[in-house]
Amino acid sequence: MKSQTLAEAPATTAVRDDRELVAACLSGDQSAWESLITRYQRLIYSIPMKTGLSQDDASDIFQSVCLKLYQKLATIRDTERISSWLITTTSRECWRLSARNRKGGVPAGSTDDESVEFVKEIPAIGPLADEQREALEQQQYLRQGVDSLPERCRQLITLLFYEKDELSYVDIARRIRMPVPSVGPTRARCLEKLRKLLEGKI
Amino acid sequence: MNCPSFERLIDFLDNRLQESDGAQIANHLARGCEGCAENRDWYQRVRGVAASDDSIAPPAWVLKRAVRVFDTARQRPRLGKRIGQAIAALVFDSFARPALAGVRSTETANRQLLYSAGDYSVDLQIAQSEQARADLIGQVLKEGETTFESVSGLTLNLAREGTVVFSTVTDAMGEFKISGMEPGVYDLRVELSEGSITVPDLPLIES
Repeated sequence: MKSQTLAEAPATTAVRDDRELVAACLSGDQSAWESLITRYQRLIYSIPMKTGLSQDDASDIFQSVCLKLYQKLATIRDTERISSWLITTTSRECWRLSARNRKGGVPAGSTDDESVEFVKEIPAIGPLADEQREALEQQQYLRQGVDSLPERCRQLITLLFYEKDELSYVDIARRIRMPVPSVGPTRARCLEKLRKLLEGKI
Repeated sequence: MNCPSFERLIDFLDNRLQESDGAQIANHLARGCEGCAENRDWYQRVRGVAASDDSIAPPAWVLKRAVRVFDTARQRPRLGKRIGQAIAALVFDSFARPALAGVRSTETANRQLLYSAGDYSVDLQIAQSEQARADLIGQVLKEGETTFESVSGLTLNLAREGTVVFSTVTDAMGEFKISGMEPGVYDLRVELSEGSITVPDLPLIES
């Protein structure tokens, strides 16, 4: 995951938890809706992409799942389960789209053999395995935890956790404009905060 | 050696310590310190989750389009799946229940009826009013909706033998009252943005 995109998340995402965001959405706060789907954008979009669907299909599924989430806002009882609900709903949309593609997606004028080959190329998608679901949920919890940290911590932990190449303290200090000797102690404090945020989740 | 600080432990786990310092912490962990092992396990677990995260963010336009769902849906709160001209099905009739043994007949009791069509239900109460006329009191509800957005301000037409004899509009909570109707069998039609629901053969005053 690229750290840059995570850091680009609006600051409001870190402030309100899901329960507060849902309540704000219901009272007509559009920024709460933006924060909510920004929070879950990677989770929703990654599922169709990982299952082999095209970018166009993944974009359509993203829209469709967001619409379903919006329609469900008024009846969400347990905001702790939004991740789980999104995983189930998105997987179901992937399966539905895949089934439709396999059934009706053969280009006009194809011979029988070409049709068979075409259909073979369209991924057949089944339900996610339990371990895949768990991994997706854990990754979401961690992203949310990091996003909920104070700005300085969020920058630091993002660089440490999500940067592709391991960075030295000197590099980190330069990137976030912090004295080199402060990096270690700050990181420890930020990790303690993160641990509290993730208690019972990871 | 005493327990290393959390900071030192993380440095050790990230291979940022001198070899000799790292060896001391390794020995400490090897001696079975539970607290440090717990810290180590948590950190390694979290790093593992981060390392496995190959999630992909959607293109900006995809996110923007989904953000617009909010405005679009709020501007058209009543737009749902079309239900066409649905005939409501009777779900409950208080007069259809057998009277309990020993309980006197409730000749003057109001009649409760519940109809359903798609996501909507129509809850009705028929009450006798003066001069053998009937009052019809009811509420239209949409399943799962707590804001009454879809059921307020709906037009209701009460028809007898195909002719509309009374019209009214639901209030902010989907409720309505039609008073002083002549006894008879009526059709109640609820006009929705997705179509209409007709409650057929409604007996105003018990048959």
